[in-house]
Amino acid sequence: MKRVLVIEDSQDFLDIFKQFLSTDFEVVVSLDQDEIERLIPEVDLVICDYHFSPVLTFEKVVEIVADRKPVILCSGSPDVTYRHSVPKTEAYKSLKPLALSLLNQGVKLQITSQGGIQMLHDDQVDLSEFGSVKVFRASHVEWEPEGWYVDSAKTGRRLASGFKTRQEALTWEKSHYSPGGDGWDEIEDSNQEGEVG
Amino acid sequence: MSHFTKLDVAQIVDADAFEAAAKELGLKTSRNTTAKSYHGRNSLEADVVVHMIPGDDIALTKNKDGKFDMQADWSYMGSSMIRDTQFKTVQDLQNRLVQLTTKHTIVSRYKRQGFRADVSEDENQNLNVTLIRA
Repeated sequence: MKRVLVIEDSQDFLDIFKQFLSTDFEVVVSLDQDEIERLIPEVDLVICDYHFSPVLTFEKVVEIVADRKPVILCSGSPDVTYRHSVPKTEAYKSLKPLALSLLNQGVKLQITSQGGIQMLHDDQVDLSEFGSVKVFRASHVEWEPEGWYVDSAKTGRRLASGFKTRQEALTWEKSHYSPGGDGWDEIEDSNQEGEVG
Repeated sequence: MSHFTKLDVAQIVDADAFEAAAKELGLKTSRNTTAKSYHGRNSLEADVVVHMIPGDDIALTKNKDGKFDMQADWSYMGSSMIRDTQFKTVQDLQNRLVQLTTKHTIVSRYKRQGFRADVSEDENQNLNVTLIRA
């Protein structure tokens, strides 16, 4: 499970963040600069308040993190902007999708210890130069009145549901079926050939 | 809805990447020279030669498809050379060379296309690569 560092001084907001982030992430909390510096290599994403300490500022946190991990600003101040930001008033609906989206940037593939290559298909990476490629369905993303859902193509089991948008379902699916994700083992077990489309 | 893409064993398509892989394993290499095998009794012109012990090399040669094959006296290597390396079997050595060659090929190819590559190794010695458009 991906780890998210939350830097937030309000216990109420911490409780709210933990409530809806902990379904997809391991949440760690800190307000201490030394501890934050130590934690950065160990977490995948940072969610940071703007006004939370007279000593440690949001700008300082961004400086500490540098380009190592994505940072989301989650602030109640309407006049504060940052490239990845969510107003606290919209945190419940926007924070998790943005976190998942930032964590799923890029194309992930695995080169196995046996010399093979496997990945969730992405048109940006063409593996055919390395030999004969097999492509097969991983999942079905469909709609029902309660929202978009994801079913495993291998087992038919419902994996996740209730997504407000199709993009949220696809973002979740990409995380689930990436190396290290909970669904990654399905590619290890699969040996079907040829289905494309 | 998504699809998995899978390839059982990657073929070697880049001699530079193969040489980088061998060097990463601490092995000595030469380019465009003669590889020896069977205690020096056989020889073969190769694009890359990996020197295991005197008289027995791994040769990387271009095949008719424009890709590369590894050739060596693998049976002798299994009994003699492997005991001095980090690998338990010849197959382990071959697999690791192919794996690292593929890593160097992908990182180099996609860097030229404007991607940054993050590579990490998991507990099963698989390499997880993330390509991020820089």
